[in-house]
Amino acid sequence: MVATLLSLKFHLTIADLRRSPARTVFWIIGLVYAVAMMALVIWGLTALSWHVDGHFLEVGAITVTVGSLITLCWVLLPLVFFGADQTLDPSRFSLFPLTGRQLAPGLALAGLLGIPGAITAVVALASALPWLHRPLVLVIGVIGGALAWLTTQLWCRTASSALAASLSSRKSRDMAGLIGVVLVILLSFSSFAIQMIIRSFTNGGDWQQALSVLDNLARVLSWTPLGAPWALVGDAGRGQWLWLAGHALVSLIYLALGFFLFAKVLDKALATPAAEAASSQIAKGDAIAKAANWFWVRPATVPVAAIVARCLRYWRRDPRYLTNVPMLILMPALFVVMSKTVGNPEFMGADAGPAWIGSWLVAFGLGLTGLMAGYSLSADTASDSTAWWLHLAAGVRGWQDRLGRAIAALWMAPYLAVITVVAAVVLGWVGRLPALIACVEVLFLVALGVSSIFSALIIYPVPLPGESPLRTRTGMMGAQMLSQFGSMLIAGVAALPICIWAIFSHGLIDWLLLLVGLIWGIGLLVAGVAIGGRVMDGRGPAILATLVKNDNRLRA
Amino acid sequence: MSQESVAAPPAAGPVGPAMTPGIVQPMVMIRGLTKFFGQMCAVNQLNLDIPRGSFYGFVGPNGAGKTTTLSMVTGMLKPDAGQVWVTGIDVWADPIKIKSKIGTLPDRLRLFDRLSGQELLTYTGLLRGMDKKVVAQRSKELLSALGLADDAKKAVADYSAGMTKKIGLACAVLHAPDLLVLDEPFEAIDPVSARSIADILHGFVVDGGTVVLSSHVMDTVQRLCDHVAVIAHGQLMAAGTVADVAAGQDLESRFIELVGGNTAHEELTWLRPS
Repeated sequence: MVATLLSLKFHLTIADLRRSPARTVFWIIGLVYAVAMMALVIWGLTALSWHVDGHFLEVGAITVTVGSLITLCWVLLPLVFFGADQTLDPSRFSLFPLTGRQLAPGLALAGLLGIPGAITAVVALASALPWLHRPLVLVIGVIGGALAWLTTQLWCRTASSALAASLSSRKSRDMAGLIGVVLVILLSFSSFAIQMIIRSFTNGGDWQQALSVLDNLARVLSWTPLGAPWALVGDAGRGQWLWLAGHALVSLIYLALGFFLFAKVLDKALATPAAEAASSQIAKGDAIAKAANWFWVRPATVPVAAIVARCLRYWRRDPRYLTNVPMLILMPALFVVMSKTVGNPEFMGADAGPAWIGSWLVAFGLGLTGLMAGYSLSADTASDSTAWWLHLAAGVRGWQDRLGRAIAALWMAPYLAVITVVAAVVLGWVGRLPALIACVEVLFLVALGVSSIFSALIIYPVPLPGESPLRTRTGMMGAQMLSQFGSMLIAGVAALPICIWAIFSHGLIDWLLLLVGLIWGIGLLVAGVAIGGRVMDGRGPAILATLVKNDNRLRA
Repeated sequence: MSQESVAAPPAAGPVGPAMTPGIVQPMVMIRGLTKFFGQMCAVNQLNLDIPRGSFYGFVGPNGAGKTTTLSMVTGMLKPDAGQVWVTGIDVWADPIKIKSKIGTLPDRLRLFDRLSGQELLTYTGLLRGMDKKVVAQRSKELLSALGLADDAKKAVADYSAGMTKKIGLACAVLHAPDLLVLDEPFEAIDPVSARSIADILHGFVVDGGTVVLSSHVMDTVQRLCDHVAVIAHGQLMAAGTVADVAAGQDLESRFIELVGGNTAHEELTWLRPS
């Protein structure tokens, strides 16, 4: 059974790679990147073994801490990338007469055939490298590494299967997708946070204190499922055989527990075929019908109003749209935190930049947030996926389609104004508030206009409706990067006059700047809608053909 | 594989084979329609007339080019060569004008499924520029006629395959088009709903509307349609009234004969309960 599952995984991977040359290229890039990372880790470990000869305490503590982090990542992985790799989705085996116990070992070992699993395996085994000169410890290290790797795979698989079972309804899947997005954003900020923590610890050059914190942390982790197998090698290195026996026993118990749980979850998954439970989510009223009553609606704008109402529903309900919200909150927050640290000698010591740099960082961050908010519209047509046929079949004009989406996205304008006010108060820049708002809103409006053109021109693949917003695939990047760089560059240049004026204006002129900026932004947005509309009118069937192609390719 | 071309494709020209005396201009007129996907020729030099007021079945094996042809008729897919006229208007010369006369149910395309069924109908109506009161009235009647009234406020994403087909059909007929082009309308539909859909379509034809539907199920076509076209490998094999095409046989046997089915059965001697 193990061999069958391994060969199945192998053949599925090969078949997937064969489907397009682009996939193969990206897969190889991923592999090279992973191997480079792995080489770096192994080099670090061996270098460590020469430098801290005799300081096994630290090496062991580092192994346990880093190892626990790796295991934690594996357990959280399914939450972030649920549904990303369904090649060996347990529910697909539900038609075969198999039990969870028969499937569990093969499914866990199949991870060895994926890039992340293989890299983790090598890193886990390499954790023994610092003891290259002591064969007995080396052997124990290899065994510990194997146990550690098995633990990551078993717990990851258990977590993903349990998650899949609890995510049978569309609503809970949406929720999990959002949690995943927040996790990823927090993780991307974590390197910054860790840097800050390390700085605050080593401020007085007190390495000893930092190491004792690490050592205590490792001591606790070594008894949890996350760290136990990673502790074996350190115990052996230090010659603490009693500890070794204890950690080995605990690791085996956790491993057995993981296996037992995985088999249990599998049994449940096998009894529940892939069909999903229907949720009974009920819309309260007819939000689309209400749109026809809006004050500005005339016969020619009835379709526009309908599209605005529909897009607003998607902004509120579709995780792929909601993904923008954490970005809109966290990005300016990050720049405010950075401004409080980068120019601050208390934190940065001699590395601190000039004091004025912090304020300009925030201004830059706010502008970037505005630009990104506007750019989010460029995925709008692609997000409809093939449902867009309805616009084509109903004979919706391009400008109506573009305008409806742009108006719906305008909900971000007041939000941007509010965070700009907050940031200005925090920075003590209240005097320059009109100029700051002018810059942020101009960048936002112009980016909306440019995106209205680009999203009719370049339909890049986005996660399909109902999928995790984090689901990315190889081969997505080319068109997306072209769209992103192209539209950001054009929008930045088009907003530049206002931004440059903002630097030199002052006092009452700032208010004039705000007025001119809004007119400039709205004018360019209208121009973008008009041009994008013409592009769409000419390209309707071509757009649908691209959407169908992406849908067929991504769905498979 | 032998293919005998019994019924030759209708001759090119503005007038199709006279199906109904007195009506000259066909509802749909297809001439030399051709579409390539890369190297693969999906539809090859297709000529076809669909008479006004006919209930037209479009049949063919998987991958025959049915969906591709129907998409080119409704203005959703641009042909590489050839022309399509609907009510005498060249579809590809003025795609927006013709779309108000056509209602379509594409196969395997998504819907805006985070709207409720009710909202999707309203959305469709408003996109077509219809009056909101008319939309409200018609969608209420459609939802109850199709047995969707209880699920009207549920998100379309939570609909079953059959319910999704039905709401798609409701979207197609909402603006009372002259021509309905339905790709596999009976797929995944339960018998009760199938009957009510058939009744709705039949009534539409009786009142002078034209229906074109594609199907895999010959039985359905034989029962519902008065005309049928058989297509295979992107080419027209036969077209005409169901009786003409069937030529004395039942439609299914005739279909297999036309498209060249696998008639040599190897004996699966082991296939019996052990």
